[in-house]
Parts: sequence; structure tokens; C-alpha cells
Amino acid sequence: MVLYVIKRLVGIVAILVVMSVLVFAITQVMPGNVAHILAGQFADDATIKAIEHKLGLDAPAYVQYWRWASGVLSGNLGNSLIMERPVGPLIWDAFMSSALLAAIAFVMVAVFGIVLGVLAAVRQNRFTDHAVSVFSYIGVSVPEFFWAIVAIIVFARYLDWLPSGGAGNLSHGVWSWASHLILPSLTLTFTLIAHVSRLTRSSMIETLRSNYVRNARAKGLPEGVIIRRHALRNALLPTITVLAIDVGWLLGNIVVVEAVFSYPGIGRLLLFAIERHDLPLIQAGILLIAAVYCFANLIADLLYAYFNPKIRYGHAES
Amino acid sequence: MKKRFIGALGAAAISLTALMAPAMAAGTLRVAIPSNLNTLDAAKTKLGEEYIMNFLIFSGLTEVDGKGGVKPDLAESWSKSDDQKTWTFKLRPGVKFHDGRELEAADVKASIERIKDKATGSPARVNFDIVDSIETPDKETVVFKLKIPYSGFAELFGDRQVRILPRDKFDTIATHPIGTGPFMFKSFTPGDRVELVKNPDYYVKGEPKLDAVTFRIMPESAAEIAALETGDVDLVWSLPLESIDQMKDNPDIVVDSTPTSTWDGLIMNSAKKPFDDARVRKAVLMALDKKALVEVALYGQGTPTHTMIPPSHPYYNSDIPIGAPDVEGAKKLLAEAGYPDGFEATLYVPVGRPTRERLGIAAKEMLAPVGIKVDIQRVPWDKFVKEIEGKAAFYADGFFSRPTIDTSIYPFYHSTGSWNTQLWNYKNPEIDKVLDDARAAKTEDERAALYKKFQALAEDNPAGAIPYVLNHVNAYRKNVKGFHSSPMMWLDLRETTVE
Amino acid sequence: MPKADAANAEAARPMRSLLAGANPKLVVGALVLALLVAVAIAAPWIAPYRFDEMSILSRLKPPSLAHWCGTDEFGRDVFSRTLMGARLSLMMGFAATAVSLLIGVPLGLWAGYRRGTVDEAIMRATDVLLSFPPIMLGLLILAVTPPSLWKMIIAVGIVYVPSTVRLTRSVTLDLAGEEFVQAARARGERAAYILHAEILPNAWPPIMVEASLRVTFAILLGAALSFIGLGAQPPSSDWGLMISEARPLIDRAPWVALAPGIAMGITVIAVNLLGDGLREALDPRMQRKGG
Repeated sequence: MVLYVIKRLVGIVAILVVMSVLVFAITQVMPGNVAHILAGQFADDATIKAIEHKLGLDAPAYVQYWRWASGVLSGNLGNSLIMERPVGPLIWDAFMSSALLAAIAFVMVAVFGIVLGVLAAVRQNRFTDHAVSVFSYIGVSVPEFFWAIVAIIVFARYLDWLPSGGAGNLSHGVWSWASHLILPSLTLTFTLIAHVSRLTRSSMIETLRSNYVRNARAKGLPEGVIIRRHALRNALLPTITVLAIDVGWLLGNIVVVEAVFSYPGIGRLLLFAIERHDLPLIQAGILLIAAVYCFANLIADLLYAYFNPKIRYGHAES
Repeated sequence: MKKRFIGALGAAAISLTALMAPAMAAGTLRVAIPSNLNTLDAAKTKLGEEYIMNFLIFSGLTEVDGKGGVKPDLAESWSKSDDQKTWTFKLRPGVKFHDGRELEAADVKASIERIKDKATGSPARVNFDIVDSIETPDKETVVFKLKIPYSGFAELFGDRQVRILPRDKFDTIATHPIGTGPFMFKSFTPGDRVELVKNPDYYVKGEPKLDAVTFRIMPESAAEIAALETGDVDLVWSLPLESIDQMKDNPDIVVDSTPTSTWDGLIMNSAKKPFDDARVRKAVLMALDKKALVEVALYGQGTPTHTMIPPSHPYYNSDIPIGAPDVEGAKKLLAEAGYPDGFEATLYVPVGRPTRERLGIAAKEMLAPVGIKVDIQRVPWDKFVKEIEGKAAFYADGFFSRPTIDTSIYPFYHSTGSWNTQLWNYKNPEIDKVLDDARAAKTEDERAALYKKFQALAEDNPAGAIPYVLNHVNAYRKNVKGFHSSPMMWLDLRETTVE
Repeated sequence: MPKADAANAEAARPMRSLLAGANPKLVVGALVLALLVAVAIAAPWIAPYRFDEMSILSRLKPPSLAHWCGTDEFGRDVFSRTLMGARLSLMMGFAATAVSLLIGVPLGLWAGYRRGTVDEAIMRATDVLLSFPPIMLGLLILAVTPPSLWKMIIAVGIVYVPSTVRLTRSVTLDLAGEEFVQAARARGERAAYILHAEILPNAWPPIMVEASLRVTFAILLGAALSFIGLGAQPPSSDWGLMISEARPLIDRAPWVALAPGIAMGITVIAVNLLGDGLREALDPRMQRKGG
């Protein structure tokens, strides 16, 4: 087990290195480098050359990559080429804001998604099942920016219950801080919950139909005990994988919700960086998100192994 | 006696509160802006949101009013030699930077030389190519020697990037700007907000009246509008034109619209077929219904024009009519140019510039009856800058208000203009001569006549179709007083208060 | 499937032979989807107006007899545009899902069955791809080349390859331990046969449930990319772009966003019903039970 975790951690580092090369390569073939953006519309070639020289963009690609990589190894993520400020604090602040939002949404998606999925499975083809289906369908059937705008118009503009956007500040009180998180996290939950609830439902139905549950029933165990003790454990296996995928989804698609709710998160910062070809910022942002996601996957795999006695990591080839 | 004493005390108290009241009430103004800032370094700014900061944090040598006039700012006075090649500026004495150091002539020299340096990448650099040398005979005098006679030189210092920065703080100016302006920089949280506070040592006594300004970055217009209507913000800068109608009926909100010289246009590249033929360009111009384009692209928030000189400007040539579209005439011109059945063209529009997108889509419809079949391609902005501008044959583009008439026109229309070859490759010797003469013009009348002639020439032999200039619209709550939208689209908050 | 349904089917023999044991979800989903596809194909002929026909005077008009879903900010008929949008959105969703299944399922089966080095290599490759947030991966792919529908389909398809691989693998992993697979192995069947004949039929239900949501996710990711500005090209708009473009006017002319929104909703429900129906129809255990 320990060996397995160490192996995976080494793997994660390898993934991050491969990604950094990949991202660097993509930015190299992207049309228009940061010097064009800095020089602005209609700059002459001499100006672009001068800026490229100042930023060291005229060096060969491998030199540029090494310059960046050696900086990272010595703990320096570099400066944003556009904003001319250190990337580290910039990315970290944005990431913490997004992480808070994503964590709230993730917990809500996991809890409500699983509860709704199990309810629907147990009451298959009855009213609860259909109600859950309709609710999930409505959430997933239109893009998140549509719900986000509807939420702003209804809850911020007409009802005036919640702020229409921005990040709260704890110094203005707990409610002011929390109120800014409600609409964005609800929007994220609403558009993501179908993913989890439907998968939980279908794998729960599978499990309830398995010999193993039938045997338990034959033994005369009460239905509630069967579901909690026996079925849930197996039914949640695919859900765990999907929840790990949702972490990646949340950290990416959060950009749309952040944009609509003026929330200063990492998605918007990354989009800002990609649009401007600001390489140090793109690298740091993508690698940080990737690292978080890799850890989410590692945890999912460990949980998977824990819940599924058929798999024992460390000696996978049995 | 006792009573009188209390009365006097009361009066004193009243007068004290009366004295304090305006200062208290001035408070903090909360402004919504749509885009994040790239930089706070004035020399490198390219966005409307960044220009707002330039004018609140920094000052220039001069100030332009957006209607053709120029006033002193950091320069108390200036004079020029008879040949218009030597300009001497006298600085206002005792002006202090926000860090307490006094402004000196050397700061002016260093700031302008920094703009002239190609590695700085300042959009204002090309305007200062005409500067040969800068001298500082004493701490309060700056002398500019120019390569050519240039009548509009003082106006250049009112431009957005041409701010005077402290020469010892260039390294940190992008993250912690220090200037001489009415407000001091407090903090910038990228993607979230910019906070400014009052500069108590601003050289105009009694200004600014506000204690602080907070800018909230809100990309989605629905969020901006909700925030304004519920009082989360006091002012929305540059309201999206399509949202104006829904604010007009709200009794708590003032919608303030002002004409600008910001323009959109259909760019026709003279170096590419079929637009190398002036008759084709003229035919496109004739097919467009400028008044309808103002309605469709701007929701009525703009004015039809001939060139970038707006109808509100004293140099505007009102002798040329804004005509109705002439489909038959356009067809005839196309036939003369060798396109009796019209032609097919791809029109590129930049994503995320809604007025230009709407202009492109409407133009497609208006050009169909003359036989020009337009295919519209939407292109992301960075790709548009790199691959479309100056290279494609036909595209929708647009440019922000510029403070002086010469910098608005010369770079675009003169055959040696810095932006011409990267926009439409337009060459017209008559216009070259008129624009050169206008630079050296000695009197205002002479200058006005030349610019009117320029507009007539551009109408006959168009470089592109400039159908309109845009309005700049701000919306604010009734408790905001002393605010006026600027034709230059920045925010002048020196007189503004919040009740 | 509940026993009652089977009994009904037994009673109505002609009906049963017609639907060949299919369940109502599958039928309704398939019918609605077939209708949508037919509408998408026939759109240019059945649309009352040309989708890009503009009229300044009649812009932002509410729904009426002349314009069933009103008009948009250029005076274009929203109903006609929604019909035309069906083409782009359906193509986007199905083609991108097909791309992700075609690449993802074989890789997932192989990885889950073979385990060891192959598994490790495939999983690490998907880890790299998966570690990009979907929208950023799409953005990076699309940023390299000018946007077009096909590039977007491939980009969105690639975005969903790794998650398809992972799901297929995890299902395969479970199935590989089952008795019938062990039995096939013991019989000395070739790996390709086992994957195709034994594992794949049993792996389909979760993959199809996932894929049915994937179609709609692909449509939605396309919409998100449109929101960011890398989607379809106007004036021909997919539903996502239509909603995105109608957003500043949502308060003043909600019908411009609602028409494509409802169309998208119907599509999502139909595809999901189809997915559910398929799951129930493809489930071999259920067939055994029914037969």
C-alpha cells in the first residue's frame, strides 16, 4: 500500500513534467506570442523584436523552457509577463478562491447526488424516481451560464436577496462573505448533479439486482440494512471514479461561472493568461490544477481499492 | 448668559458638522468595469479600463477636453518657436508625487524617453518619433526639439499613455503605481477589484472630493446591472449599448450618454483584390445605410459620420450629406470596375467586440442587393490582431477615441502613417499633402479648412467605410453628484461626490 | 424491468413483435430523437424564414403568428434559427461522443483486461490529458488553429476520451474477475474474443449511460466554448451560441434564449431516455430474466 502510494506520487511528478513540456509546446505553436500582445495593435517588427529580446523570447525554445524549469526547481515561478508581478501569489490567491467555491459545490454534488441517486434507485419507476430525473434533466439540459444569469436576474436583481457577483470579504462579516458564495456554488451544483445522481442510480439498480443482494434478501434482512450495509458499498464504486472526474470538471468549467459572477478565481485568471499567451502564468495555473486533480484521482483510486475487495493494489497481477 | 453660551456652542457644533458634512458625505464611490486590467503602467496601457486608472493616478503635462481644446495640467504654461519645432514647457511648482518627492523636469524627460524606447512597447511611441531631443535647462523647464514643424505637439501630452511617472520608480510602476494625480493607488486584486484613495496633496486645492474609489471588475452585464439597481455599485462605466433601454425607466438611475470619436469601420485592404480599385470601395460605401447601422449595431447610441472626425467636432465637414444607400449607383460602379455580377468576399469580425460583430452581420445583408456575397468569419481577438489586421482583404475593425485630431487621422490615412500599412494600405497623394499641411498649419482656420478638405477627399476615394462614431454611456445612481461622462471615455472624478 | 411490463407485452403479442421487446423509454427517446434528427436534416426546407434573413424594423419582436418564437436582435426568425441550430448542435454532440467512444472504449477495454504495463501506460496518458480541465484542453487545442465545427468536434471528442477510457477500464476491471470471463479464459479464448464477446456486451450499460450524458455534455461544452468565443461561426449558430448571444437581452427578449434552451432541453431528455432504454435493453442479465 505504502509502496503503491509512493509509486503513484512519483507518477504524478512525471505527469506534471510531461504536461509542462506539452503546455510549453502548445504555446509555442499558438499564433501570436506575448510580445505581440504587449506591443499592441499594429506594432512594427522592430518593437516586437525589442520586447522579445527584453523578455528573452528570442532564445531557442529549449533554452526558454530550461530557464523556466530551473526557476521552478529553485522555487521561483517567475513573473507574469503581462502583469509584471510574481506568479506565485497571483495564482495562489485565485486558486484558493476557486478551491473554496469548488469544494462547496463538490460536497453538495457528492452528498445530494448520491442521496438522490440512491432514492431514485430504491423507488425505481415511482414518483420519487421521476421527480429526481426531471430535476437532474432540468439542471443539465442548458449551459451553466444560462442558469447563472437567471439566478442573477431572479435572486440579485428582482428579489435582492444575494449579491450579483464578486468575492466576499470576511472583514465585512460572515454573512457578507458567505452570501457571495451561494449563487455560484448552487449554479455549479445544479449543472453537475445529474452526472452523479444518474450514475449512482443506475449502478445502484444493478447492485440491487445482483445475486449477492438477492441472497441477502433471501436471508430476510430488512431492505434498509441491505441498502446501507451491502448495496451502497458496491454501487458507489463507479460513482467514486466519476466524482474524481468531476473535480477536474469543476476546476475547469468553473471559469464560466466565475466569469458570470465576477468571481476572482483561477479559471478566469487562466483564461486571461491563455488569451494573452502569458506562459509563466499559464504553466503555473495548469500545473496547479493538474496537481490537485492528480491527487483527487489518487484518493479516488485508494477509496476504490478500499471499497472493492476484489482489487489489491501493490500486487495487481494476481 | 448661560443660554447664549450654549447657543454659541450649538452654533459652533452646527458649523463644525456643516464643515465636516461634505467631506463625510463624499465617501467612497463604487464603480463597475467589465474587464480585468493587464497593467497599471501608464505607458503600456491599451484598454479603456486601464485609461481610467491613468487619469486618476497620474497627470500629464497638458489636458485635452475631447472637443479640440487643450488646457494646462502639470505644465503651467508652454511656448513654441516660430518654426513650430522647439517647444518649451514650464512645470507647475510644488507638485508632489504620492511618495512625497517633488516633481522635476528630469521626471518628464525620463518618462518621455521611456515611451520612446521600443522595448517599453508603448502604443504612444510612434507619436513621439518626431522628437529629436529633450533638454532640461532647470528643474522646472523642459525643452523639446522636433524633427518637423508640428502644431499639435502640446495636445500629445494629454494622451492616455503619456503620463509623467517618477523616474526612480519605473521598476515597480506596473504593480504599485505612483503618480501626481488626484487619487493614490491602494490595491489591485486581479479579476476582482482596484482600490484608490484620495491624494490629500493634489495640486488643485479642494479636489478630489471623494475619499476613495473602488472599481469592481464585472464581466457579465447582467451582473453589473443587477449590482447598480440594488445599490451594490454606484456607477457602471461604459454600459453595454444593448442594455441601455432597460435602465431608462428606473427612477433611481441616471443614464448619461456622450458622443465620442471612437469609431468602427469596414476595412477594405487596398493591397488586395478587389479592393485595390477605389470604385469598389466607393460602391461598398454607397451600399451601406449608415443610419440603419447606427440602429442595428449601436442601438441608436451613435452618430453617422464620414471619417473618424465626429459631427460634434468643429472640423467636421457638414457640407457632405449622409445619404441614403444607393444600390443602383453602387452596381454601376462595380460594373465599371469589372464586376458586373458582383463578387464574393470573406468578412472577418473579431469575437467579443459586439458592435463590430453586429456591423459585420448587418453589412452582409446590405451588400447582398449590390451583388456582393459576404461570408462572415468570427476570429478570436489575438488571432485577429496577428493574422487579420493589415493582412486580410475585408474585415470589421474599430478604434478608440484619440485625444488629438492629428493622431486620430494621420497614422491611418497618410501613406507613411504608422498604422496605415497594418490596416488598409491606403495611398492617396492628395490626402498625404493635406495632412502634412495641417501639421504645419499656423492658424486654427487654416487647419479646419484642411481637415474639411480631407473629409471630402476621403468620401470620394474611401479607404474603408466608417459608418459612425459611438456614444459612450455611463449609468449611475441618483446619489452620485458632480459626474459628467467624458468624450474620451475615461472617468473624471475630481468634482464627484456620493451622498 | 418490472414483471408487470413483461406480462403486458406477453398479452399484446403484435405489439411485442413490433417493438421486439424494447421498453417505452427507449421507444420514446428514439422517436423524439429521430424527429429531432429529421427536423435538423429538413431544416432548410421546413423553416418558415431563411435563418440569416435580417430585418431591422422587426427586431426583438415577441412570439406571434408570423414569428412563432419571436425575432432576435437582428430581426431574424428565432424559430427558423432554432431549427437550423439543431443541425450544428446535434452533429456536435453525436460526432464528438462518437470520437470519444471510438478512441476511448477500445483503449479502456484493453487497459482493464491486460493490466500491467499496458494499463499503466494508457492510464498515465489519460492522466495527463485528464489533468487538463476539459474546457482548458479544448481551448488549448482550438487556440492553435482557426475555429471550425469539425475542429471543435474533434477537440471536444478528445476532451472526453480519457474519461471514457477510465470508465470502460473500471467496468472491465470488475468484469474481468467475473466467473463467465474466467471461464472463457479457462477455455483458452483469445483476448480479442473475450473483450468483444464476453466483456463488451456487459460493459455497455454503464458506458451507454455515461455516453448519453456525454452527448449532452459535448453540446454543453460546445456552448461553453462558444461563450468564451471559440464556437460556431455566425450567422449560423448552434443552440449554445444562440443562448450565449441572447444573454445581454435575456431580460428584454427572453424568447431569444428560451427557444434554443427548450430545444436543448428536449434533446437532452430524449438522449437520456434513449440511454436509459438502451441500458435496460442491452443488459444481458435482464434479458436472461425476461426470457
